[in-house]
Formats: sequence, C-alpha cells, structure tokens
Amino acid sequence: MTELSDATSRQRALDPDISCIVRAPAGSGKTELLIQRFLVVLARVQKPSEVLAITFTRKAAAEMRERILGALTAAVVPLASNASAHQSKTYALARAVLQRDAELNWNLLSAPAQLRIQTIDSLNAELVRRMPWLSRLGALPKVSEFPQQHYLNAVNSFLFKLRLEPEVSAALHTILAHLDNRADILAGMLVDLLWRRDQWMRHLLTDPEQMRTALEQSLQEKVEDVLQQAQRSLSGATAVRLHALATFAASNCDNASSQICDYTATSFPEPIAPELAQWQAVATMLLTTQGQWRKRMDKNCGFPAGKDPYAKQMKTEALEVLEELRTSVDPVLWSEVNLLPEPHYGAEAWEVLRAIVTVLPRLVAQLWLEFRTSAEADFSEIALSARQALVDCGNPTDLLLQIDQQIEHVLVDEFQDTSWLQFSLLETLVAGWDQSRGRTLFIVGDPMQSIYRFREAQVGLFLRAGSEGIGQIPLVPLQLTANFRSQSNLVALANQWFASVFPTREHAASGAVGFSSGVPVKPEDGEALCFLPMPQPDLRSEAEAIVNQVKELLASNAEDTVAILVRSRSHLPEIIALLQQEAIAYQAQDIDPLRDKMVVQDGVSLLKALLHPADKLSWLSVLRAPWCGLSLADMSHIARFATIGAALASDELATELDEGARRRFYFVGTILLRGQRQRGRVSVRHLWEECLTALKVQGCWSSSELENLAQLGTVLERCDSGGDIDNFAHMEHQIQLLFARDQMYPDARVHVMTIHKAKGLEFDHVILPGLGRRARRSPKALLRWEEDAQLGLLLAPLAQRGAKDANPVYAMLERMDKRKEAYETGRLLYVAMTRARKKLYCYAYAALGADGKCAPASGSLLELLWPVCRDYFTPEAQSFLEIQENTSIEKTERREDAGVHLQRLPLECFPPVFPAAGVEQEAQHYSLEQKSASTYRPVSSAVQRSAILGTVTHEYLAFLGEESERQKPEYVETLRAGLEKRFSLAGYVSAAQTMTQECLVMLKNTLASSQGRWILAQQRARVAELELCGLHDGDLITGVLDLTFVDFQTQERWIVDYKTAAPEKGEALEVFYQRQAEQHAPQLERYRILLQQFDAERQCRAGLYFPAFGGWCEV
Amino acid sequence: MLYCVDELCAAAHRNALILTVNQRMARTLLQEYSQWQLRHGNSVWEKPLVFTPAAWWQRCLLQNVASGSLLNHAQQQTIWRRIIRNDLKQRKYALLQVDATVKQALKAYAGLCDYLIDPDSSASPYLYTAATPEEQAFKRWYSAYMEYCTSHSYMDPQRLGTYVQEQFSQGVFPPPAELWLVGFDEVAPQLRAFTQTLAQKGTQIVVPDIEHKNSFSEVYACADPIAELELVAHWAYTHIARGHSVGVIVPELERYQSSIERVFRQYETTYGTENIELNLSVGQPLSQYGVIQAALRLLQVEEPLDLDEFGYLLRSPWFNGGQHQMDEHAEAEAFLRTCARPRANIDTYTRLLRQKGYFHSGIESICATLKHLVDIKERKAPTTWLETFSETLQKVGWPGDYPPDSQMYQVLRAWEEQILPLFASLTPVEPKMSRMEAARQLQRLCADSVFQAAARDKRLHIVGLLEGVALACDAVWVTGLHDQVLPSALNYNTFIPVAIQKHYAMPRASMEREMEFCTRLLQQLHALAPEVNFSYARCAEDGSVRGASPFLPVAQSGTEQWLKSALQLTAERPEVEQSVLELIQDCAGLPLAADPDKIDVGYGDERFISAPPYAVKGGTYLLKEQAMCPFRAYAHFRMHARALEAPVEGVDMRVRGSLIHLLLQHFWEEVKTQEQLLQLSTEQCRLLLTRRCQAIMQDNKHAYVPQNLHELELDRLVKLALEWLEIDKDRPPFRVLSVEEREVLQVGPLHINAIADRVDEILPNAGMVLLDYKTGVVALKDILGEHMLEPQLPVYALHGQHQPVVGFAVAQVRAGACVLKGTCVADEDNLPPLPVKSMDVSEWDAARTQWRAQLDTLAQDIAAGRADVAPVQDNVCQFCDLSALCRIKQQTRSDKAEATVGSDETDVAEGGMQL
Ligand code: SF4
Repeated sequence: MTELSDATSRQRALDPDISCIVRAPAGSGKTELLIQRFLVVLARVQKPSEVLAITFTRKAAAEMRERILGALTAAVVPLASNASAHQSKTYALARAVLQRDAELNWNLLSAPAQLRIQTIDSLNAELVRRMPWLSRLGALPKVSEFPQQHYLNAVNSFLFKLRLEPEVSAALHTILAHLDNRADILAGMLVDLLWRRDQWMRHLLTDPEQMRTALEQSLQEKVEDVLQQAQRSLSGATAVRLHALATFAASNCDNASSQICDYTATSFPEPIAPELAQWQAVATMLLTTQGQWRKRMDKNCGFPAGKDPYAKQMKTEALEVLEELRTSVDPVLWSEVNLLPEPHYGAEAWEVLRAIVTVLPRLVAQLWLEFRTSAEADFSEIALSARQALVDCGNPTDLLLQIDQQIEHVLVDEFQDTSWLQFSLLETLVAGWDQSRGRTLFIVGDPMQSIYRFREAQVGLFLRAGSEGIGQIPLVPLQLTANFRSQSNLVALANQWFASVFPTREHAASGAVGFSSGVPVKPEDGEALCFLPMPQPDLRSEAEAIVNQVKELLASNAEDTVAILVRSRSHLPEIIALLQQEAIAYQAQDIDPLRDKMVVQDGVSLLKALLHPADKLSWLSVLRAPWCGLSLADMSHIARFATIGAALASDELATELDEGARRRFYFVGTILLRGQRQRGRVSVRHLWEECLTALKVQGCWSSSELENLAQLGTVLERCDSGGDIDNFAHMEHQIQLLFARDQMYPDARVHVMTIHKAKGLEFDHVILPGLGRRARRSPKALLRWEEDAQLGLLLAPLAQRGAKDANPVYAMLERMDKRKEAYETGRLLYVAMTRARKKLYCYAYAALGADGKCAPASGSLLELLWPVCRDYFTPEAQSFLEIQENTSIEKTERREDAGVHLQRLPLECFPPVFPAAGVEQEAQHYSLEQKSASTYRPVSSAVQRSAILGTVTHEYLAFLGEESERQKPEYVETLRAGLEKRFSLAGYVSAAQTMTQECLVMLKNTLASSQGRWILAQQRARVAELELCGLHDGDLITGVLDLTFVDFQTQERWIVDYKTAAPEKGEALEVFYQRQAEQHAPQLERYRILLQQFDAERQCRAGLYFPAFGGWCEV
Repeated sequence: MLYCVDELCAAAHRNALILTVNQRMARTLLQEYSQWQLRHGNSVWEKPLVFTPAAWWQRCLLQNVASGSLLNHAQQQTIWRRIIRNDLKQRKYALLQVDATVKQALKAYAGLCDYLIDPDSSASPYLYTAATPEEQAFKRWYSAYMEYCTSHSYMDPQRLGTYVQEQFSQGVFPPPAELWLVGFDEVAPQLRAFTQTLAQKGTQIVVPDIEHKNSFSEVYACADPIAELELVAHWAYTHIARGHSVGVIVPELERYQSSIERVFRQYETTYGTENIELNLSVGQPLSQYGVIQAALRLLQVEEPLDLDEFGYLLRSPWFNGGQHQMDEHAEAEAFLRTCARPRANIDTYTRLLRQKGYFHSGIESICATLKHLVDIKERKAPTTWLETFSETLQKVGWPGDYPPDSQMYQVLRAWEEQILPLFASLTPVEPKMSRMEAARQLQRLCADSVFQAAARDKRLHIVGLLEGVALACDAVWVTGLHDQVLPSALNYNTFIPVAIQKHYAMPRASMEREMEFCTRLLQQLHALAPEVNFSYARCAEDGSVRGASPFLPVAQSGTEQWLKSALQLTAERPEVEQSVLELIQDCAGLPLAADPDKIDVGYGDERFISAPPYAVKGGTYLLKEQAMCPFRAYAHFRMHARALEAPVEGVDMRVRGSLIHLLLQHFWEEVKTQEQLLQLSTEQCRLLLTRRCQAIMQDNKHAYVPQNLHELELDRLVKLALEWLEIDKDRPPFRVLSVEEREVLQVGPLHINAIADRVDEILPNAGMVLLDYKTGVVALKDILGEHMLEPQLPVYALHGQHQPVVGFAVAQVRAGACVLKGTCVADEDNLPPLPVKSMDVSEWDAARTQWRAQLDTLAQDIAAGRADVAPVQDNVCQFCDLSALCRIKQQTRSDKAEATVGSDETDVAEGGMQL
C-alpha cells in the first residue's frame, strides 16, 4: 500500500497534545478523521462529557454519534483480518476508549447519552438552560418555528402602537420620509434587520456622534487602503509619467465637467484621502466608463487630436502607458478608485444613518418584550444570551466546572460555515484555558466549501483562525489532499478548473479562499466530463436532454446513483415534470413548493371557507374544486349570495340549478355548513380533515398529492388558536415555506436537490443543469455594514427612495459584497462538482452576442467557468446544435385552450337529489340536538361563596363530631382564628370575618338545637365522610356520606346529609323542607341503597340537617 | 398489573393504607379493587385507602381542620413571582421569562423538600454552598419565601409530609396498621422518613413484590416514529378485536400526542374498524379550548385593538349571535378588513360597523363589552375581578348560543371548579390587580391546567413512561425506546448546586442512578402484562439516526408472522381508489342576457335588462380585467368573488393613490390653466397644495391615514405634486377642461361608467388630450400594445364627449419617476400636443379603428360571459387574488423563473447552526 499524500497531516491531526485546524477538501475522509480524533481525546479524559463535538446539523450529530458507538461496539470483538489501514487505526483507538471506559466505569455502551456531540444551537440551548440567571432568559424559551412573526409583531408595535420617546419618534420620521413614507417597506426592512441583529447589534450600542468619528475614520482607512493598492500597482516611473499626462490632460480636457480637470497636483498624489480627487482624475483619464483601460485617447479625455507635436507626443505616451497598464494591472482596482466615496458622510446620509442608529436599539428592546409575551425566542436570542452569560460570568472555565459542564477538548466540524456569533462563543468558551492542562481545540472544515454566506457564515473566520488561532489557543494548520471519493480523471478536472476559478490570493476580509488541489486515491475510470452547451435558453429542451441522460445512465448500470443539482430550486420545475411524466423514480427534498399545488390551494380554500363564512372567494373555490366541480354558469347563480348558508337556505336557487348541479351543490354545501357550525369545538386540523374525508378527497387526487395536502396539517396545528385561526396571513406565510415530500420512492437512484442540500453527499453521476442562468438580486437593505478586522466597521444607509443614485458608501459596500458573493459562487460550483464519484454532466446556455460570439450571463456559474469552457461555445464546436435530434420524449404541447377544462368527480359520487328543504331540517336538527344536551349556566360568585362556606362547615361538623369535648360553644369559639385564615386563604379576605361568623353560628346552632346534639352525640357505628362504592342498576357508583350512625335507642341506621341552605325570606318552613327534600331525594336514595347493602341488618333512614337554623327533615 | 392483584386487594380490604407512586396507579388500583369486590360477590364496599402520598397528607391535614394554612400551587407561584420580581428590581436586573423561572425554582424547591435539604440550615450533613449566580439567586428567593411562610404561618404541599410526620409522632393521628408502598421505584427521603416514623409507631410497612409474568415479548425497529405508531395502531386494534384490553406506552407522549390521535383516527377510517375512544393520558391546556380561549382573549382586550384580534372575537361562536348570526358576524369582520386599519380603538370599530349597518345585537354586545372592559381602570382584588369578569362574560352571551356538548361541558366545569376558585384564592397573596394583570393571571392559570376529557372506554390506554407502570391491561406495547430516551442524559436542576444533587443522588444527577433506574424500569415493564412488546424508531422526524436503547433485550426486527402481515398491511393500505375524474369544457359563464343578478349589474332603475346595451358596473376597469384575463373579469365583476382583504400597515397604496388624485384634482379646480400655473412661484404652489392637502386629509372619509403618519404623508403628497407640476409646466399651453368627470359611454353592447382623470384643451384650439394619473410604473406597451391593458384612455378618446381628442397619456405620478407615457397625433408643422411620441394623422386614424375593434371585442366577450382562464401575460397572475378559483396552477407551469441565491435557500440545512 502506498503512503497517502497527506499522511503526516493526518497523523498530526491525531496528536492529542496539539490544537489544530484541518482543511479537509471534498472527499478527503473528513468524518473518519473527526471520529478518530474524538476517540483519541476520549481515551484521555476523566468523564466522556469532557469532550465536546460540535456539528453543523442535528443529523450530522446523530450520524457521528452512531459511528462512534459503532466503532466502540465493533471494538468489543476482534478485528476482522481483512480490515483496511484506517479501519485498524479506528479499531485501535476504540479499544483504548473501551479500556478507559472499563477503568473509570463509564458504561458508555449502556449510556451513550454521555457522549456530547451536538449542534451549536443545542449547545447554546444547554448553556442557557443551565444559566437562566446569567443568560437573563429566566429559563430556556421555546425556539420559535416561525420567528418572522415575532420580528413583525415587534416592528409593528414599534411603528404603530407605542408611544415613543420624542427623540426616537423624530428619528423614525426621518427614516420614513427618506423612504417616501412607505411604512410597509420600512417594516420589511426592519424585520430583515432584526433577523440579522446578531451581526450589527454589537456595533450600535454607542452614542451616535461618537460613532460617526469612528465610522468616518474607518471609511478613510478604507479609501486609503484602496489608494495604496492602486499605488502599489504602479511602478515609480509610471507614476511620474502619469503625473505629466494628467497635468496635460487637465488643461486640455474638452469636457469642463470631467473629473480630469480636477487634477491640480504638483507631483503624483500620495495615497491619502485628501488626495482622492487627484487619484480619481487620473483614473478617469485612464478608464472608459465601463471600467476598462482606454484603447483610444481623444479630446474628451484631455488629448485633443491636432498637429501640436507636444500634444502628439503626450498622446503617444499616454497610449504607451495604457498599453503597459493593460498587461500588468487589473482595471477593477482602478475603477474602484474612481468609485470611492468621500471619506465622510454627507449631511443627509448622516442624518438618516443617525436616525437608524437611534431607532435600532429601541427596536431590539421591543423584540425582547415580544419574546417575553410569547415565551418564545429565536436561535439568535439564545445564542446571544448564551454568549453573554459566559462573558458576564468572567471565568467560563470555572463556571462550566461548577455546573458540571466542564470541557477539556472541543472538536468543531464544518468550521468554514461558522458565523461571527458562533466564533465568538467558541472564543469565549476557551477563554481562560491554560494550555498546560492539555486542553485542545480541533477544528475541521473546508473553506473551499463555504456556501452559507446568506446564513451569516463568514469563511474569513476560518482563515483568521488558521493564522491567529482562536482566543489564546494557537492552531496548527494542517491540509488534507487525498481524495478518496472521485475517480482520478475527475480529480484532475477539478484541479484544472478550480485553479482558475478560485482567487489566487487568500484574503480573510473579502472571503477570498485559495484553491488547493487534490490527489486522487482512486484509479481512472473513463471520461470525467460531459459538457453540453445548449442552443437555446429554453428550459424545456434542456430538461429533455437531462432526462434522456438520466434514462441512459439508469439503463446502463443497475447501481449507480445520479444527482441533479441546481443552484436554485426554481430551475427544477421542468425537470421534475418530465421525470414524473417519464415515470422515473426520484428522491427530492424541499424542491417542490407546496403553495403551487392545486391540491394545497383547495385545502386552504376549504379551511378558510370553514372558518370564515364571509370569505366568498374561498367557498366559491370549494364549489369549483374537483370534489364539487360546479360549472361557471351554475356558480353564477349561487354567487349572488354572500354566504353558503344563505345560498343553501334559498328556495329560489334550487329551482335555478339543474339536477346535476343541485346534487353537487347541496351535498358539498351541507358539508361546509355543518363544518362551519362545528368551528371551535374541535381543533382546526381535526375539523378540516373531517371535512376533507366527507368531501371524498381521496377520490379526487393521487396519493402523492394527498400526501402533499396532509402536510398542511402541521401548519394548522401550529396556527390553531382555540379551534379557529386568528391570522390567516400568518398561516399562509407558513404554508409558503412548505415543500412536497417525495417519499414515494425512498430507494430511487435519482436524486434532485439544491447544491446546498447536497453538501456532504456523494453520487456516481452528477448533473448540473442551467449553469448559464443568472442569479436573482436580493432586495435592498436599509442598512449595509461590513466589518473588517483591520479597518473597522463600515456602515451606510440606503439612498432616498426615488433618488437616482445610491449613497456612495452604500454602493461601495454593495460592491464589496458582490465580490464576496462572486467568490462564494465559485465555491458553490466546487461543492457541486465534487459530489461526483465518476462523471460530471454540465448543461449551459450562453447567448450569442452581437459580435457573433457567445458570452455567459453575468452572475451565472458559467461565467466563472468561462475561461476553461469557452471552447465549447465557439462556432466550430457548435455541433451542440444537433444534440437533441434523437430525443425520445414526446413533447406535450402547452395547451392553447388553457382553462377550459374542469376536473371533477363524476355525478355518481354524489347522493341523489338532496332537497333544498333538507338543509334547513339538517340545520334545525343540529340545533335541536344541541339543545337537548346538558345546559350550562355560569355559576355566580354568590353560589361559589356559599359552596366554600358549606364545605368548611361540613369539615368542622365532622371535626366536632369526633370528640364530645369539642362540642361546647367555648371550644367552638377557639376555632375562629383557624376559620378566618381558612376563608381568607380561599380568597375571601375581606369577607373572612363574616363568613367565619356565619360558620360559627351554624356550628353553635347545631350545638344548641336538639337535632344537632343528637347528630353530634356519640353514636354507634358513627362514620363521617364515608365513601361507599357499589353497584346500582348495573353501574358502579360511589357516594360520600356526610354522616351515618346507628341510633342508640331505635337501633335504626341513619344517613345524615348537611345542607347549609336556609328558607328564603318569607318562605314557610314546610315549603322549604318540601323543596329541599325533593331536590335531594334522589341522592339520598342512592346512598340508602348503597348503605342498605352494606349493612343489611338494619332499617335505614335518611334526613337532611340544616345547621344554618338547626332545621331537620327526614327524606 | 404489575403486582399480585389479590394480595393488594386483600390488604386494601383490611383497611391497609396504600400509597401509590402516582395518581394513575391509585386509579388503577381502585378499579382493580372494584372488580375484586365484585368477584367476591360483594355489591357494596367501602372505598379503600388508596392515595398518593401528597393526597394522603392533605387528607390528614383536613381531618385536623388545620388545612387553613395550606397554600395551593397558584398562591405559591404568585408568592415566588413577587419575590423574584422584587429581587430583580433591587438588583436592577431583568429576566426574560419570570413565569418560567418561577416554575423552575419551584421545582428546585420541591426537590429540596423531597430530599429534606435546607439550604439555610448549617446543620445539613453536607455543606450547601451556592456558588453560581443561579444558585445564589435561588438561595435568596428560598430564604425570602421561607420567611414569608413563617411570618404568615403558611404550610405548603411540598413540606406537608414532614409536617404530618410530626403529627403522627406526636400521636395526633393514630398510625395505620399497615402501610403499603406501591409502584415506588425509589423512595425519596421525605417519604422515607415518614414511613420510618410510622414504623416506629407500630405500622407494618409493606413493599409488595412485582409479580413476574412469563411474558411474551418482542422488540421491533421501525423506520420512523410515524411508522412506529402505525404499527402499534395495527397491533392494538388486532388485540382489541380479540376482546383484549391494550396499553400503549409512549415516552415522549406530549410530543406525539397529535400524531397518535391522527394515526389512530386514520386507522379507523382506513380500515373501517369500530371506533374506539382513545384513553390518552395527556390533555391540552385549558386555555387552548376554544370556549376558554375566547373568554380569555375577550378579557385581555387592549387598545388599540388589532383587527385580527377583534375579528377573532367577532367571529367567535362563543358569544352572542356567534352561532345564530354566524354569517352576519363574519360579514361584519370582512367589512372591517376593507377599512384599511390594521388596528383601531373600539369606538372606531363601533362607529364603522354602525355606519354600515353591521350592528347586529350580538356585535353590539361584543363592542359594548370590550369598551366596558378597556374603560375599567381601577385595581381590584381577584375575588372582585371574578365578579366583574363573570358579569362581563354573561353580558356578552358567553359561552354561546347553543348549549355545550359533553366535552365542552366538562371544560366549563373545570373552568368553574378549578380555575375560578384558584384565581379567587390569590386574593390574600396579591390583594390588588389591574384588569390586565387579573386577566393575564387567569390566562396563566388556564395555560397551566391541563384538561383531559374523561374517556369511558377502557379498552385502549395510551400513557407516558412513568405512568406506564400503572397499566393493567392484557397486552402492552412500549414505543419510542431509542438510545436518547433510555437512559437519558443527565439533567441537573440549575438552581441547586451540582455537588448537592450528586451527593444526595437526586433524580437525573448521576449516571449510576439513571442506569439503575432503567434496569428496574425495564423489569417493571416486562412484568406489566402477559404480552409486552417494545419498539423504537431508527430515525427521528428530522431524519437523524439513532439506535435502540441499550436496555432493550435484543434489539431486532420482529420476525413473527403477524408482524409481517402488519407491515404489509400498513404498506398496502386499502387505498381509496382515485376516481376517474370527468373533464368538462367550461370557459364561459352566463351571458349578460341571462344573468339573474340584474340588480347588481344595473346602475339605473332598470331591474331587468335583457337586451343590449347592458349597463355594467366596474367602469373601464372591467374592460381592463377582461383584457388581462377573461376569467378574472368574470369572477370579479359577475360573481363578486374577491379575497378577504387584509389591511396593510402604514398608508394603504390605494389610499396613497387616491390622495394624490384628489390633491391634483383640487389643485386644477383652482388653477385651471397652465398659464396660471406658470405665474405661481414654487412657494405659492406649495402653499396652495398644502392648504388643499390639509383639507383633503382632514376629511377622513376619503382615506384613512394613521395619525402618526399624517404629517409625513402630507409632506410627501405636496412634494410629489410639485414634482409632477414641473411636467405640466413643460407641456404646450393648455387649459384644464374637466377633472374627474363622470360619463356613461357605450362600448359595443355595454354601457360603461367612465371617469376621465383629466381632460386638457391644448391652446389655442388644438384639441383635447386625456390624462390618467397612475402612481405605479406603467409600461408603454400596456397602453398601446396589442392587449389594451389600459383601456380607459382609448375608451374615452373614442367615445368621450370632449372631442376632438388629439392625444392621451398615462401620467405616472411617482417620486423620482414622474413622466407622461402615451401617444398623440401631430402633423409635421406643429408641436405635438403632448411631450410623447406622436403619430401622423393617418397612423392616428388607423390606430383609432384598431382601438375601436379591440374594445368592441372585449365588450362582446363580456356580454357573452366569456371567462377563459387565459392570463395575457405571466405577471398579471402575480397580482391576482383568484388563483384558487380559476385553478390556473392546474393548467400550466410557470415557465419563467430566475435563479435565486440566499434568501430563497434559507431553509437549506435543518436546524443546525441556523441563527
Ligand atoms: S390568477 Fe391569473 S389566470 Fe387566474 S384569474 Fe387571475 S389572472 Fe386569470
């Protein structure tokens, strides 16, 4: 076996004494290395939880855990004899861990939860949960599944509800005026800013005026940085010549308003901000408006034609200098010089910026309140709080020890996609580590695969960590080169392509990552590339070519997997449609948006029709859906009613519809109406699903469409508020985020996904469609910022709405951003390409320019590849025009008569004529059924009060009955304090005395009355509060008897029930007794039956005792 | 049943005191006892002494009439909340969720009490040192709470065991002869001390042995949690069909609650099995039941009131008229949505509703009640609030027009018997509250109280892991035993020092303890029934893999015969065949001649117009929509189908449009000619515009602008008008002939109501030009292209009274982009009447003929009821509300779509590092 090209790096990576940062390009076996490292350090710690591994996704964490446990389990038995080198390595490491496990009694295999492998989010969550006070969150809040809602609520309260401090309110007005009073636009921008607050918040918490100085300082540094670069691009001699030329041009320029005339320098300008105008004059002289080196010089740029020999000479010289520049200097740098802003803010820009800076902290505070009310938060809040908690505690290392979260070794995966906040958390975690204790950091990632910029990933942090370490921990940089994944030709192709796609110089601040080539481990395996230039931009024909390719691949080999990877899922509809049409099984995740599915729209219509009877559009849509399918003419009759209920109730309507329409309408209408009346009684999801079933939805759609429909259920559950939905817009927003789950073919060999999703996966064949398509611009942000480790913070506001030009600082930041974006696009392409094991298929279209040459669309992936693939597009190579000749796919014509077809269940599916009158009956029946149910009457507070009084009196009567000593008025009086407390603790604070008095009166009455004394007197078999269970008419019943005893004299058994009632004013005692007896007879009868069986020997009598006045009546 | 039933029941019959680990165990025992009694031929018996320790202690307390000092959990929470708030105030510190903190702290408190640990006592055998800020904070709160309790001589449920224990040792109560401890996996110190005291007093302490059954058992690995549930459902129904009772144990019960309900319900519908009431031992918070939520939301009303909130109340079926007048309430809500106010005060809503006649009695009482509520400003005691609230609810007709069904009845009983007394009991600890505080407090109580409707069916029980040991069924299935659940990771209580938790081996504080726990639990589970199966899912919902719990016997896929058939069954469920749908042609509605809805169509008195010209509503906009998409015109104007509106924040775009229209209208009514305009200085213009604009905006009926944006909007309008007037200044001389003039014009077979924004006469006597203000961006091809997307100008040009028309244009009035777009006729000698591209006379005539033909076709199509779903270009669907009705998505796939980067992809990686 040959030594791997990067064997030393791999070996060092497993040295448990060093901290390192490993660059692991695609296919370099990164996960295995990570696992080995984990095992290495695990074998050295006291407790498994001292090793923390951080992964990018939960799925990755689970996988890593699985593999580690797998390695440990495998290490229990002897190693297989045919194990490969790295298998035996892993085996040996796992054995060491098992030994440690046995020594320290970890029982890892029985309690794998001890392994700490988690995402950064779950780490944050854990920290917050353990530090409710320090994190200021009080407890771990629920992570909102839809935080946008909270941002929006906070913004809306802020903009429209709150009474703001005058200063804030004035600032807000400034911003609004700046945006042409478009509060809606402002709201959107603020929501966006809140979403990304983890990036700017830390910058904005100082006084605006102080900020200005700092900001303009960094702006100036930025300007000078560019000027210095420009200066470096010139040789000293050239500079001297340029000075002469510029001086000449300034005085000869025909166009007085040209910047060229501003050149007044006495020698070539220094690269400092005050000289900016001089620099720009030179740049204007040299560059065309498109930013290219000029090819010609004329009077407009200061070099008039004519006979003057000096002028002629100057012109020649100018052209010479230009020629020299063309070959040696990138014009982009000089056009940047031309576009540089003045190193300070204009008055208006500053006013707006100041306003924004005043408003934002206040808005963040509002978001906090919003989180508080909803008891939810977003990931940022939790992350920010976790970090804050660690910072505040001063010494995280000690703190973590105290809360048993001690960490000795940290492993981080996918570090190229780390964000500032995550980076800073890591920094904080390791703050205070002293190296002698053998704590290590192990960072892995591949900067060439950093593609999560839109989620705040900053690849520059990786580069920075490589050069500066993290916190005080220096990191040994290690580079892996071996490629285990792709066949040798493919690796060679990637090496060739990306050497030109990636920037040559690495630069942390601008996210420029250099390319490092791979060394194939696998042998050659045929052609690595199939590049297909498309003759037209037509998506359909490209899709056809691709699907043909897929078919061919599937047919030629029974195992190979094929992936179709796109930059944006909007590239896919045609391909998906064709795959479906051709019945090719595929797996696709998060590709096909549900909102575009008719079945989903029908589901939403049904839901809205159920919950909002006046939503006419929705109930009409329900009538048009396949489960009903009324014609337009029929619908027009029905549509004159505002609600379905009104339409169903109309006699006239029934006569206007024909038999078929009637059957359809009354069947579906009744289901709707019944559902509307059920609203609130069951959960929204339940109601909706039931109606769907009643509408025979299964008959209308295929099972995969039904699967799509079912997905709405989770959204409905989330939006359910008491069986209704309080904000339809939120609900629909959430539906927008759903995608079809194509689980129909879990074993399919064809995979369709975005490049982002494909990260970490590999396939035999990778197809890249639409390389020639451009990317969509993202909307303008209110504020742009850029943080540079050296230059500091740059910040700029959006220009006035309606204004022609962008704010120059803003524009500069935009350009910087675009550059970063371009780098990232290159990396995206790298990720896409390196998914392949065997072969890559590229489909691209480039438009033919006026010059007869093809050119790639700007911002497209093809543009990046242009240097290496332009040859495919030369006229000679245009054999591609015939590519599609032998397609086997039938072209389905887009129906010209779109819209004339209505799909619906056939008439047999609907019950025969449902007479219109039946609906009303149905309705009446419904309300009758409801009426017959138990009636409910809210209990008044007076009733509640007497209920309490009753309960307490009962207890005390039982208590008095226990011992005869207690049955004295003096004793009863001693109970007063306890009673008062009892009543007041039940809430009757002010009434406590009165109630106590009432209760005491009852107790004393009982002692005073003869019946009362008889009841309290010691009797035989006296049991208070006896609970009996037994059969009564075949049912098991229970009864709690207030009191039962056997009378001394009569030997009869008595049941006594206490009732605190008293006769109403003017009510005769007999009438009262009568009333009470009637009311309580059934209850006492039940008791008697129970007791009779319990004590069969004795006659059993029952009576009611009224302590309020010592009354008694036998029942 | 875990234990020998006979043994336990005999003990119960002897009046032994039986303490159970949880409520469910007590219930199971009581049921078993009833059966036992019946088996022994008894028809009546005394209820045995079966309790949880807490219930028993409380009962002891009651017997001693000392319960007067026992705090309930709501009171405790209130006290802790106040203590924590005060602490925060003193320290000038803030916590996001004090309520959640209170709950955590109370949990810590309960733990300390259970383990008889007193942080304040130096006598503890193990030194309690609060080191972290959390521990220190808790210690402060603890001391404050203890002090409060002592000074008020309050007792609380957590310390009750110790208290009762003292009573027993002092002989206040006679000790029971036997004490049985049932289901305790381990006995916490408080209970242990209690039993020891009883033992000293002569009680015999019995811990019954688990009755080991030779049970049949299998372990199944399923693909994912839902597949697992489906398998269980199949198994359960198979058993039930054989007449067995079945128990299903789901460790993460709350999480899967709704999935369980759905899977089982689906099973019933799919296989047409008998309906079985699920006995699910998990409920929903009371606050989530519709009837309670409506009440709580009403009581928490706040001004300004969001329309969404108001609409929810208005549509609620739980108030007056919510059912009887459901439609009317919904229509009222739909109307408010058109008023462009996302929020307003109740008076405003009331006024708007009253004005438009939406003021039915139910609505009136809702408005009045809300008003009444927001007007209450005093602070009152909870008991007083209770009165106010119940009166209020009664007034508004809560809980609705119809009597409640049985579940709702139970919910209302819970509200009344649990929530309201709890709320009242807060009076002594929180004597004064504002209305909002009181309502929020009620909300809190309801949210904390989980309600579960009683199920009478005893055949199928679904319970959580801890309750599982209380099952008494013929067959049991334990789901969800993956390696993250059993054993679970350590989980310290953050408020108690870790060292203490470890020292006392408190729950989830040491791995050894967890492992023991798992071993014992597994033993218990095995002993539950003659058949006990186990399962886990190999993948979580998010697709992440996980293994079987290491405590499962042998993790394997079941191989038994029935499972195979079950798996097959779940795989090939009897699909309801998709019916063969019929396909019909349907691209036209009713022709105008046959439309029964004449009333809405006419503008005059004619009720029936069956012959042309038909008067139609909608003006030129109808033509425009017909041109854009015939279906759209038909659905909007003939079927009156429109999406519910949703008021937008800020100034509505339509309002902005109409304001600028009005402003320019007023301006030209006063200024009249370009000459006059030119004489005005910019300042004068501005003054004039400002004055006019103020007048327009004051008159709220035109358009609603939120108060705080008033001034800004005024500035904006004036600035925009000024910008526009610059364009008017540059035109050839004109005088304004009419502004916003209405006219009925005949177009083909239609009578159309048209309004010309402006007709200018070009001076001197050079014909008329028409202007139509637009605030959006208009493309010239929409005006002059083949589709005639701006028909109002040609209509007027051809048919209007002011003739000859020599040009027309859309006046794009838009900040930074004011421009005229249109056409005009001019001969070579004269300046064109409008600064737009002109035609010569013959072109102009040809164009007129073509416009006429186009308009005629459109009008004919309208009269014929043509309603093809045929958007003339892709972007017209973008701003159309009808896609659900026209079903365009079913017809075609949109062809264009640009690649997007970033924002479009935000959901790329699940959870993970997403921030
Ligand atoms: S969505 Fe498009 S096709 Fe449907 S009615 Fe509107 S414009 Fe026409």
